[in-house]
Amino acid sequence: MRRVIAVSDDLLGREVDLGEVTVTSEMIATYARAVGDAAWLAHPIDEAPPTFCLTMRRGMTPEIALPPGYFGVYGGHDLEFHRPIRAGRTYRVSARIIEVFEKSGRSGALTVVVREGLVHDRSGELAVRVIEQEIIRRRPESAA
Amino acid sequence: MTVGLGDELGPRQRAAPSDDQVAVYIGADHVGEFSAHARAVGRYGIVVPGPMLTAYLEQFVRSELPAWRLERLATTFRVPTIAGTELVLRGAITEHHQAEGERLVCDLVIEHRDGERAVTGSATLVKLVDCC
Repeated sequence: MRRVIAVSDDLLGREVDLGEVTVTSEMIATYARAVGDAAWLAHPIDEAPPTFCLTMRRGMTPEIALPPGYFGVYGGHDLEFHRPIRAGRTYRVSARIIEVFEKSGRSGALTVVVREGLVHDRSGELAVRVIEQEIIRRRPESAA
Repeated sequence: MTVGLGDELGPRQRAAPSDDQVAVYIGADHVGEFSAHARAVGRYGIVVPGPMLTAYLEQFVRSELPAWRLERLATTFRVPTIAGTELVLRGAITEHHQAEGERLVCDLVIEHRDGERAVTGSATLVKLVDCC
């Protein structure tokens, strides 16, 4: 069966380096304010809230080109916290597409793209692992 | 505080992030024009990015279980949440393990005011060891 969303063999499973992020207390404070985390802001900021990791990798990368008339939404994620993200430290972020599959949802056929994001510290220790799902479906006719 | 299987967490009422908070989160100067456009085309407002709601669940678990450290947090975004709307956060402890460090597994949910389940999730937490 022909897949709606085609991912080239050289992209599927290939780890993409998304660069380094040096975390600052200001970045953490801005994040805490944005998500209304007053408790975190009440103490000296040397460590980030666990979910701060989601800001270290913007967007659903590596990206997949979608055919006309299709759109993708963020379906969910599974976060594993191995080490705290700390202010003043630099982290390397990488990601890869690990799986693409099709299924039937409440609103019809859809494609699920599963990505793995990794955040390592400078010593190579894994800080955070993120498994996320992008849900891709055809845009409703009325919205075209 | 002791916790056990079946214990409920919450419920806790909280407003979804505002337009301004969403703007800060996505790194935009403001999102007023998007919000206005959304309303102009018949929508209720702008949609809150899912990761902001994951942050809400993390804060909820942290406040409900302060003696435990989050090890894993999984969320599924079922329906969009509009900025500024009222939410209810709740959960329940579904597993309690003693082997290799004491751990809890919790089911979590964020509901809209009408009871619709907007975000479901689960968290695994490990008990903090008293130092020294």
